[in-house]
Amino acid sequence: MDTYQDPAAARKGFFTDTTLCIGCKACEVACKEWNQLPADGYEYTGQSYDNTGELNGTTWRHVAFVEQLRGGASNDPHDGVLRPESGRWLMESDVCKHCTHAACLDVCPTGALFRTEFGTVVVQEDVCNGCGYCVPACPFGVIDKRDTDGHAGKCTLCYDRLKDGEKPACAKACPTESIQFGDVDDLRRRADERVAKLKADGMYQHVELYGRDENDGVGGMGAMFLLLDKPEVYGLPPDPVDATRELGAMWRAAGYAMAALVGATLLLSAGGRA
Amino acid sequence: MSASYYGRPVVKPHVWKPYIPLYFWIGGTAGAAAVSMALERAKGNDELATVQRNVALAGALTAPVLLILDLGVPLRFYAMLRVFKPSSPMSIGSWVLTAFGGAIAGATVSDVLGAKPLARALEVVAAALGPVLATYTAVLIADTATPVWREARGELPFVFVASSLAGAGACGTLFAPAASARPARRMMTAGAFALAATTRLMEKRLGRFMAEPYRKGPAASLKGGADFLSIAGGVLMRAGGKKTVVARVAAVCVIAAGVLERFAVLSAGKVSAGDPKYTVEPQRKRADERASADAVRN
Amino acid sequence: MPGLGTSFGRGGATTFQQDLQNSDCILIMGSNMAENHPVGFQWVMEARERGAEVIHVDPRFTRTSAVATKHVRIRPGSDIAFLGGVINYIIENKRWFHDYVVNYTNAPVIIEDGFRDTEDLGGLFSGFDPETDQYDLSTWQYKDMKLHGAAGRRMGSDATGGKQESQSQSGGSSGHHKGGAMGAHLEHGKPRHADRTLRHPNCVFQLLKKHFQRYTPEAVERICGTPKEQLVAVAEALCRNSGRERTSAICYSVGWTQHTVGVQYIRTASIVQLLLGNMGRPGGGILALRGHASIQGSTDIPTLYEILPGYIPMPHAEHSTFDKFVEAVSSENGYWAHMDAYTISLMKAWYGDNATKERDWCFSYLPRITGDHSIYPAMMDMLEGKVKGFLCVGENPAVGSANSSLHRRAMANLDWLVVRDFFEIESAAFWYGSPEVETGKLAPQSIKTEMFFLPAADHTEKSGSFTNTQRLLQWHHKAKEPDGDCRSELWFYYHLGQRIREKLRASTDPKDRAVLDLAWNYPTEGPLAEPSADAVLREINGWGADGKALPAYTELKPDGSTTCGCWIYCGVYADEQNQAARRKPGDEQDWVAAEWGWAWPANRRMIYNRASADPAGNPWSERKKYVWWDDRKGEWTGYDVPDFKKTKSPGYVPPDDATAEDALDGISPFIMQGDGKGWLFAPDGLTDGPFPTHYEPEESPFPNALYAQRANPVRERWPSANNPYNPPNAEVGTDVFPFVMTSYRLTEHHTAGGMSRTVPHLSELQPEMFCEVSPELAELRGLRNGDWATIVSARTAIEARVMVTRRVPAYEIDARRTHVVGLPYHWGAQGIVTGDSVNDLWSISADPNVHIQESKAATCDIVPGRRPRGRALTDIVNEYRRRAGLPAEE
Repeated sequence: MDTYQDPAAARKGFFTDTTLCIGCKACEVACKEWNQLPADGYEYTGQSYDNTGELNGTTWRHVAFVEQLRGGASNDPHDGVLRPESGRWLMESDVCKHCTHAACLDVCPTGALFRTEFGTVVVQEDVCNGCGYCVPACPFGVIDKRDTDGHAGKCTLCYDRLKDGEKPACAKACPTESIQFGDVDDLRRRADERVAKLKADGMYQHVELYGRDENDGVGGMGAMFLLLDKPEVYGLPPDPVDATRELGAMWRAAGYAMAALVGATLLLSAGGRA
Repeated sequence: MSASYYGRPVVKPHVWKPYIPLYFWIGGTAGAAAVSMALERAKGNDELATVQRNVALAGALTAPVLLILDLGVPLRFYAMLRVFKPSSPMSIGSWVLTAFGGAIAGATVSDVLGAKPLARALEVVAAALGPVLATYTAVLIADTATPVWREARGELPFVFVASSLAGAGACGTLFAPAASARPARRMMTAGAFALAATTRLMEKRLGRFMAEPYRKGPAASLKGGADFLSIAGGVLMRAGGKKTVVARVAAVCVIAAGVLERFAVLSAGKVSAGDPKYTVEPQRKRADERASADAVRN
Repeated sequence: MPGLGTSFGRGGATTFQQDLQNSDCILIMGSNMAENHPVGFQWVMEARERGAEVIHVDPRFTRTSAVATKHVRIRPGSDIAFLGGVINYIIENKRWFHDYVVNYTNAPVIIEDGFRDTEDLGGLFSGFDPETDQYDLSTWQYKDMKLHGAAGRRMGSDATGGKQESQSQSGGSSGHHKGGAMGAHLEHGKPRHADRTLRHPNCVFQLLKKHFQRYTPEAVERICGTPKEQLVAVAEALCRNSGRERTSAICYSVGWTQHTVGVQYIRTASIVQLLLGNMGRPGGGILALRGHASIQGSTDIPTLYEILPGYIPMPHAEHSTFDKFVEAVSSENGYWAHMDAYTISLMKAWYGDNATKERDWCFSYLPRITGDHSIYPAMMDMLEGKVKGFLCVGENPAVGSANSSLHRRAMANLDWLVVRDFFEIESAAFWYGSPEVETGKLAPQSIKTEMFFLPAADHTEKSGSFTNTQRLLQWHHKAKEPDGDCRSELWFYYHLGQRIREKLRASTDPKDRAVLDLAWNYPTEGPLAEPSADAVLREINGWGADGKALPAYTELKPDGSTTCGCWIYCGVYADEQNQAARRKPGDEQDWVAAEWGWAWPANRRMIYNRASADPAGNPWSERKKYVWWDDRKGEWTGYDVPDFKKTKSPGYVPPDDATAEDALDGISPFIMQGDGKGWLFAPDGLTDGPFPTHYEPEESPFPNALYAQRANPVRERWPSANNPYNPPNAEVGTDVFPFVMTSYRLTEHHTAGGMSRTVPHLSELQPEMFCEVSPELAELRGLRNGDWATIVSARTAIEARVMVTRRVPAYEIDARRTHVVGLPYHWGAQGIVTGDSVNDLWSISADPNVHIQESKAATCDIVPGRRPRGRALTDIVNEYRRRAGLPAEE
């Protein structure tokens, strides 16, 4: 990983264990308070308890709520006795993944986006000129351009707090330690153990560790998530890819097209004056 | 039917304003015009060559204005040249556009000042950069998570080249005297048919599912307009292209077609990013296939 | 809270949140703990991760249910039936913890011959007077013995005719209150008649068994809508996780207290925990989760009319002298025997050198109770113009009180109103921005109330303490001076007092001495002359004759030599240190963390902890050891401060003439009780029964399935045209309001919204008022997710956005399908995000012991669409009232 300064610091990231999330949104509030982000809308969505909707330039933590309860009469004996038969309410605090291969960083033409000494991806707000390229590039739909000041914004993993040896505001605020912060290596180990334990306990039908695989399309994520259902249920892409992976092939195709342009112009211009 | 989170998008659609598709066409046309300019100059067709040079110059001067207007922080436009970043098609494009603009402007000034050899040399430089200008924007949009762009990364450069060729040809037809404009007319006709063909090819390669954004919704009408106008332009040329009036009418059609096509591509991109199914379904399929392949292997 | 007070001796959470990590099973009921106590909930999560069962019994599937191991649904207002079913299960299946029950509870005690149970009298106990709607408690006594409750209403003469409550609640949204804990007076030592074999037909245990014998799983299913398998599963889980080796805890909050029979809800849980032997044991106990950050503190140093600091009762009119007062309220046994020392020390704090024995300790200056001075009757008096002025501080009755419309109209009848708050809350703005102004019922130009809005400093702008739900005092330090005119409470009251004293300085009216003789001389500091909070705390702690801070309340004397502002807080400034400001990190202490903050009493974190050891003084098991007797040292020791006289051995037998705490033997862990035992049967202290009984709420679509007596016979109600009740089932109007409505909170907002709907980052999380309905109800009434609905009660109609969700089930009660409409109650007319107020829908009807309003179960209708505006709103409400046989609104 090509980082700013000598990469002596270990790579930092998040492990979000959704089995511990109580959907309190302290993470959303702590993030906005620390980063002085504005509220961005007072609209009732009717989408369970999620009125935030998505990550964007002014929302860098977003708690997703997915209700998966079955209907049925109240004296259905299986209803409400044991999970998961009766159903459940999934909650997950979403955040920038700080990918190993980060599309936003790769496509940024000004170098505003850079990789810090902690291995995180950060926007330098005083460099970004709001070209907007990073926005469609991110395979998770995280980074966005702000109307308020015109440039891009996303989670910095509280870069300023890390420099002072503090943990990010969201991890600090989370009351149940659903959001765990630390060295990515350590988090990976912890997450693997947790998944193994949950699978052995058999309480959940579906347990997956999203972002763990270093061979995935973004080279593994700096922020991993223990999910209880498929990623798309939470609004996450099932198989995200940093488009830069195919950049070579794209330029090759462009090269052929360039040749075609020159060749065609040559051919068509034969004949000169009428 | 794939699962989604309340039908919300997974990736974000582009946030560019109409300046950008307009720029795509202007830059592409300028690039192709520069190629034509150099070839005509070499053949001695100075009239057409100079027209194409002026087309390229007009494009090179307009393009940065459009791009700067689209920026969220326009006053920081210079940051585009803060670094040279090969992994970013936009970085490469910014440098190419700058160099192209410098070369074309330099050529023009040199010409006016009478420094002909310098002018010719700079024209060659511009012509070398021209094809990059015409195709890098295709790489730029393909290098994102927008499904309908990324999946068409093999075909988009050809679509853009066809449009550029047609555009340069149309401009030459419009602004050059009829006598010297024949190569331009041919470029226009060929480009118009090529545009229709390459977009058709792109759609086919995308497949019925992924090509939906071009067939339904806002992009469909834009694309339909582009198709119609490009074919109309081509047919007009085949039928009565020798008449200057007809040729010029056809040129206008072809220019409109090129512009509409760029808008169609951007619009389709937005639609495909806005509906989660275009992101989720192919990825779910891929993930499942990989999982079962792994299972078989182990 | 007299529920806990009468059962165990003190009205307060019996344990601390950190202790939940030791639980093997946690029952969360009448509480949505993860949403409303999210930080404390981390300990429940810790327990779950250690393998504990976490059971959430609630009408809705909430964020607590989502992380529990089991969610069980229950119809709002039927919890006593459910818990009674658990008691029935425990007894029928012989699962009680026998050694604990026999030794530590009053199970063996034999009750008066004349006692009659609800089983005998169709839902009433003996002693009910239908003329006054009151009980005479004399037939509830221990046989041949009079006993006074450690809390709550005292039996005996009630010459004033008013209620002799010792606690009340001060406002609708404030949640429940811990009760006055009065001395339990045992006339003649240990109970005369007891059967330790628990077989005597009139012993408490057999009476308990009889009382709950019809609370079978089938009955529970019929009443609560809970499948009987689930009731059995919950009971079984509690039984399985109780006993020597395992303990279960119960967590509750205002879901239990906000009922006309709320105190009895807590009593039922207390009985469960006593039967299972969970009280005073690690991972056991009852955690009363309070409704606000410092509401425990506001009953300890009370803002309640009927108690003085430390739960000393407020004197009544007939207590003409201090000695008469002490005689009436103190006790021979237990620590309440020192009522005189506590009260005199308090008077010394307030009146300093003026409080001398010759002047009867300035006792005559204290106000006297002559009736029910609680907030709801006061508001109703206000509505009739009988109250001239109102200081509304840190409260928002315009949104937060039941029948909030009545409150807004009442405030319009004041001569003057002072509101102190950070923002112009609805109670300050009612005169121009409220539904009444919208309908034309109130016209700003004709409201004569003179309105004063005074800005308040927030908690970062002043020093002081919070006392949280587990009786823990934590100090907070001022971080900045308040801006502009904002001032703290201390500043306001201190300087207000100064100015009043200045104005009265020349007065010769003896009544004014009460103010002029106060020792009102706190040191002030800073540019705003802020009174020193530290000095106030020190006064609360108190000092001895030598002027040094006292170490413990056992040092308080009845001779005027000690000063103490609140006896239960004595010790918080021991060694001249602000103990509440201690911040030793958790990782430098054991899990009890006694050096973080300071808890009352005496920094005990878990009370009644003597019960964690068996009668011989040994822990019930190694796994559940907490406090035990060290024979060699001759003292109690362990992980916490023993809630017992340190040197009293397990084998101690009190001599016949022993008094106060010495009259309790070595196996009586509940040291504030007259007999030292946990009360399964409460012979005194409660107005509505020694045993909890299932009663239907004031408004309910259902008859009482168990008794002829439908609802709590002693409940408080104020029927009037301003406060109409939907007539109960079987009378006219049942199907006019066919659904059950319940209200509750969300994590994102805080009570009436003054501190959350004014903050952008919170407002955007839950921007609009919404109702939660099941898909079945949505279909029945044509409601669509995201659209609007109008909810109508006998009081008024409000509107809300619709959330159709399976988390609210349909119920099958008594073979009838019914529905629940869920309403989060945070919205009002002021703030960044606004909406209709849910409390406009509720009537005022209250628990007779604590005057807490019933706001968890009533009846309503719901229809699609926004509510009408202006006059049309009154019309639609009147149409409903007409159909229900109620008088129209003026």
